[in-house]
Amino acid sequence: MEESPQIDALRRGDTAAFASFVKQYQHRVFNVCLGFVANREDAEDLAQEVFVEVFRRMNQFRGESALGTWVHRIAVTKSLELLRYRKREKRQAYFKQLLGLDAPGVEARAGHFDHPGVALEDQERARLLYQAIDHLPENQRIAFSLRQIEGLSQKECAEIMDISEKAVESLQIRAKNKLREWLKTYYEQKA
Amino acid sequence: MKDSPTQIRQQVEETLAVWERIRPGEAPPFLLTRVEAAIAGSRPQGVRNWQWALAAAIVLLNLGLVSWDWVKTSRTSEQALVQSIWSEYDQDTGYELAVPNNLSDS
Repeated sequence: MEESPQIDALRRGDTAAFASFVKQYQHRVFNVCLGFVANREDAEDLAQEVFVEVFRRMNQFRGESALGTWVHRIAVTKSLELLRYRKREKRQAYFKQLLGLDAPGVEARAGHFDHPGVALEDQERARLLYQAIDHLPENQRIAFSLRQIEGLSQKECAEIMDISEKAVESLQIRAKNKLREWLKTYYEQKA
Repeated sequence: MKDSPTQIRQQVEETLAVWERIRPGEAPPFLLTRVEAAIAGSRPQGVRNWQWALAAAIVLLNLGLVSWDWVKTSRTSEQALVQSIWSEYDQDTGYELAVPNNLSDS
């Protein structure tokens, strides 16, 4: 396997190999996280967590998939964990508000859109798009984000999600339809 | 004035098209330093646990040695005391009495 010497070095805990591995994957990992959370700071924290996790779990990597695929999976899992946590936080804040208890800062933290790759004139639309994506089921969200934001191929998405390419395609189509529906309702209500 | 269905459809498509224009972000240059610091920060915890375990074992061992020594010393001094009492008794009475060798359980 092409990555084998690198994997061996990483398993041995070779710090130089790990540093070059981080340099090799840092932008990809950062962008996967950014694609999910749409917040620069969160994506930075997540990317850090992903690499620490990789370092700790390197011995558990069985080499059944490519190293890159495995790293992508960890990045997706970590991002989804954060999104779930934020949703829980939002729900709790909502109930606390209902009960008349204060939950300061939660809303601001959870809904803060700060994507460095979005041009100023697209900020509002991109924010809206992420709001729509928030309503997608998890598997549709993953398929859509990896394909559309990351620009990964159908095959790469299928490997990361551990499903067939056809299933990825179907999830992407359903995700796009759902996004269209959500945006249509939004604009109709706004009009 | 309400937007027509065509206008709404156009807005939806324009919003969806934003995807095509989102540029990839750049990971911060300090990411590697942060990762290394996080890994280094989590390492001493294991060492600290190991050190605590070793320290506890040394303390227990010392306590064991000290108490064993104390028991041994007290038994010896007890034996010496009894021996001196027996010899005094021997001198006072003029009887010849054998000093028991092992007084520990008696």
